[in-house]
Amino acid sequence: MDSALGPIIGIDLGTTHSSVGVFESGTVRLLPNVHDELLTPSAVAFDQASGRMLVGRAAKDIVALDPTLGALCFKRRIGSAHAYAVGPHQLSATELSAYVLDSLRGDAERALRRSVNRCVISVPAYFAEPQRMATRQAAAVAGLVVERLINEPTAAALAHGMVARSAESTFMVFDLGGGTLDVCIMELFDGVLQVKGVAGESQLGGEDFTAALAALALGRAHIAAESLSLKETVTLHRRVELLKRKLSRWPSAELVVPGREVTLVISAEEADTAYAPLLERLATPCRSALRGAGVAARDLNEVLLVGGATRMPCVQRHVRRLLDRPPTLQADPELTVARGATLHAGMCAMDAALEDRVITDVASHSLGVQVAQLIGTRLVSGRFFPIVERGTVLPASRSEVFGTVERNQHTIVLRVFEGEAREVKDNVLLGELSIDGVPPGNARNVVEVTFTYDLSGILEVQSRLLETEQLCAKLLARDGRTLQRQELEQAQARITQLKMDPAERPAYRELLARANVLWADLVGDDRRALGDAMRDFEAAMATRTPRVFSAAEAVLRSACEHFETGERW
Amino acid sequence: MKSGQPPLLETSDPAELLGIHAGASLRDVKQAYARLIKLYRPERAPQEFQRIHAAFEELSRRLAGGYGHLPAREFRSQRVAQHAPAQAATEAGKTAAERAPDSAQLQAETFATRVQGGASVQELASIWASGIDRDLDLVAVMFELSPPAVLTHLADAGHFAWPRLAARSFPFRGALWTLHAQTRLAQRRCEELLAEAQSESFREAAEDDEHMREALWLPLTVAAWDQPFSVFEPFTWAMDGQELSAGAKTFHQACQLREQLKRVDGWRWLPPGFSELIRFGRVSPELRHELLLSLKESLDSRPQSWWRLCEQLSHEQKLLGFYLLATLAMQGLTNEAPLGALPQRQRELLELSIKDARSAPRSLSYSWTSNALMVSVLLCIVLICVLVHRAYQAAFGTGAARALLPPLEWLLGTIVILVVLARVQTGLQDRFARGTLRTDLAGTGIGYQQLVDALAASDTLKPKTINSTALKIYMTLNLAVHRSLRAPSRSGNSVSSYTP
Repeated sequence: MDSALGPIIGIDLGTTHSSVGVFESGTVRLLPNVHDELLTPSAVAFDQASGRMLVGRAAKDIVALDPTLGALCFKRRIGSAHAYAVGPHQLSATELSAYVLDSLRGDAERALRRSVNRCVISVPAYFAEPQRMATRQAAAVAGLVVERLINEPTAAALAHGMVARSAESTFMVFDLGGGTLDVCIMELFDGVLQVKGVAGESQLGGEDFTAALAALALGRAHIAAESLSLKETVTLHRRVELLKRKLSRWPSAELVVPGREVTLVISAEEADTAYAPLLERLATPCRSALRGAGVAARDLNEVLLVGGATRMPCVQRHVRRLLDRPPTLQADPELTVARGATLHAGMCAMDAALEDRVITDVASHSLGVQVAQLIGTRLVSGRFFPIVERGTVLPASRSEVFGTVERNQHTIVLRVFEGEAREVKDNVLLGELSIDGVPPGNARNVVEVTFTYDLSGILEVQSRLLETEQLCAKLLARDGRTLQRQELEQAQARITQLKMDPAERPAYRELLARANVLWADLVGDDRRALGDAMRDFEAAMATRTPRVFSAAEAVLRSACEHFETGERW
Repeated sequence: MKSGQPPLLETSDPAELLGIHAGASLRDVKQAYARLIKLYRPERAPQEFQRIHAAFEELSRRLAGGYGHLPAREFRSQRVAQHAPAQAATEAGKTAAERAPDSAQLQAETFATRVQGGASVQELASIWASGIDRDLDLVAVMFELSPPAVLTHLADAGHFAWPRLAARSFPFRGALWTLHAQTRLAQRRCEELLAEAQSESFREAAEDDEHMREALWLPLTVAAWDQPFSVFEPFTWAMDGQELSAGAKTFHQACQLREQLKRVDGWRWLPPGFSELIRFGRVSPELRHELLLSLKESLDSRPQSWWRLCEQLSHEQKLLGFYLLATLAMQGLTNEAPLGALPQRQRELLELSIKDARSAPRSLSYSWTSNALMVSVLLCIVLICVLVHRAYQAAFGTGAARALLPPLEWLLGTIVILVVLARVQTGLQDRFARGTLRTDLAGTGIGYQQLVDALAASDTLKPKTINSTALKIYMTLNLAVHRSLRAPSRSGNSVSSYTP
């Protein structure tokens, strides 16, 4: 490992939870946060008491009490212009992700007792280029240099491949996380882990199952979703999330619909019926990935389930039915991706223990340019011409020759798109490259365009005029949905100003937020008992006597655990 | 590359690059590949890694055999090697694989020239076959140019087996066109296409891919020409299987009298659904009426599919689509029933057409001669006015002449406006009267006067608005046709390509 530059940490920046690890002494070590947990909720909230931003469990609890003070699941909107209201601030998903990354970096620094500024971040395989770029920018805001973005299923496969070190196999990684589904076909031989096919859906994950269950509950209670206040909606979401987990273990469970205080008993069968449309959507990416890899389902040696949502029995049953084989469930499906990202961080750091491991990845989307094509005698514009096709092994460099369409045309504007649709209007515009100085003459082939796509999914477009050898190159500038340099600096300044220093982030704040959430849920004697514990805790804090303080903290913590009945949101 | 690392062997032979001996197995290839990429890792030696990976892919493909796992581009190059006859490929003294990137376009141009020059079937077939490795759109164009005898010859020589594979390999590019082109051989190919559409692989592709589902229409449509409706029942598996079946049924009914269907030139670019509509326009009144009923049934039963097609079109094409429907509806009823008796759906379409026409753009492009003439007339009027003013000034003095200016300006302005309006009105009516507009628009055979009659027969318009509405409808139709057939905007910043 390059000790002069510091360690490279592996980060799984998830939709609902994130985690961080480091590869040291030949093994993966996942690093705990201040609450001694390996999973940090991907939540950011504004703490009115201190005027600072909180990340993780405390933030999640604050959002539960007042949704206007924080944001959850923002990864789904990363790379878009959507702004979240977090207390008095309007923050993009990129900035919110930066807070989470900064928090993870702080956790890593605390655990490693040294500064950390390099990382490998896992992203959904089906993330488009703007989303990848936004993730990089979030890391930059958090003061991290991204050595590599690794696709989540690839990371999961890498973690799995390390276990099956000597095996030669072809397997599928089915990664259903909080917000995204990735399916990846991998081949492992002689220490080479090769991605053969990738498919996925960027808007399908555990959160959608929660939403489906919430819709079922509201339907059963004859309550229109629109009639709920924002706070009630968030409370319902929280309760349904817990209900979803209970239904994974029990045949039925109770749910109290907030606002109306209607108590419902929902069975697992009912939930499965509500999930049916979502389960149907799991099939398409599986087939696409298999087809892209040129592998039949029967040729798979194993199906690996990754991601928290794969804990749901209905998902496991459905995958089994789809692929006609029992899937392999990881012990900690939420942590598999983080382990893989950490392993990859070790590879980037050229750790000797990983010297015999090589991983190859593929492009998840096709990249190409807009062209006009002659169909008969007509020139049809707006067509997509792929240059680096989906499934191409990375890094890749591909060239194509293009021509002018008019006599004496002096400028060619290359519009670069990402996607699979035949018409560019259905694909994602990545940027433009203007080629001036085309020599006059008839319409003819004049320019060679080269796309160089690196392992982190960064694209360089280079053009060469065939007649003059004039070169023009560009690392694609992003459109307005991502941060520009000035915005980046502003965001960095903001995060420095607002972020809670890890040393200043006391555990009691988290405990109080947790108790507040619980107190709102309880009634009667339970509420009074918890209220007493909270009052004692606050009184103990006022004494500033460590012994008194830690005793009250222990009481309140045990009270929380008692009333949560083992299910923490 | 790592410092001190030996340079990679400079060779174009993949086996030599990987250090594989003759008769090596796939396992040997994998081992050699793994050994090399651990030396030349993708993150550290990207150039070398790409070469090694390309060699690995090539050797794996050779050892695996067949097309099944090949990426589309490599699939194409291999297809050339298999299908291109030697005499065609060596036309310019080169093998197919060695041709210049733009040679496919040249092949197409050569082909078109030879077709016009009356070349023999064998010669045309050989040129065509040597161009099949290129852009699928280009292939479709060559299909369009091919006389039936050439296509028959090529089909007999087995050159049409690949488009079906191409449809699978190119789910996003050219599949529609290829299959569309394939329909030219409808009666010969229907059974084979149907078998392909029924195959597991196509089915899987179509389940996942909207483009492939669209592509599926074509083999189904073609198959409908010769097959009983029952053959479509297995396709109810599809997500919109009922729609497919309903559509196929409509086409089946239509195609029972296929001998009467005529191809209308100039409409090939339209998507399949509209092409069929246009073909219907040339059939007998009885069949047309029957088709209209089928069309209505089809629209009523699966509007989503139709409008999905519409959504993929440009504004002008969409507009044209609406008017085609409306025109067909009117045409079907002017001979047989008053417009008031239109079924609800058709009446809605007509009303929609009229509504759209009212909001359609008013400008028309005229020939430069007529524009020049109009400008000349206007200049003459201005000149006359100036001369009159000068004469008045000479006769009565400057003060009196100045008093004359405002009324003269008013007069001049009014004349200019009247001339322009008259130019537009008479120009259009003359053109309609002379039939210089597409009076047989969409192959319906319906003319301006018939449209006026149809509108007059309806109770939806006031008598004095009939002429202007008919005019607007035709203006819009003409604009839609004109714009759709004209090449799209050549702003000088788009690029074209025919490279492989």
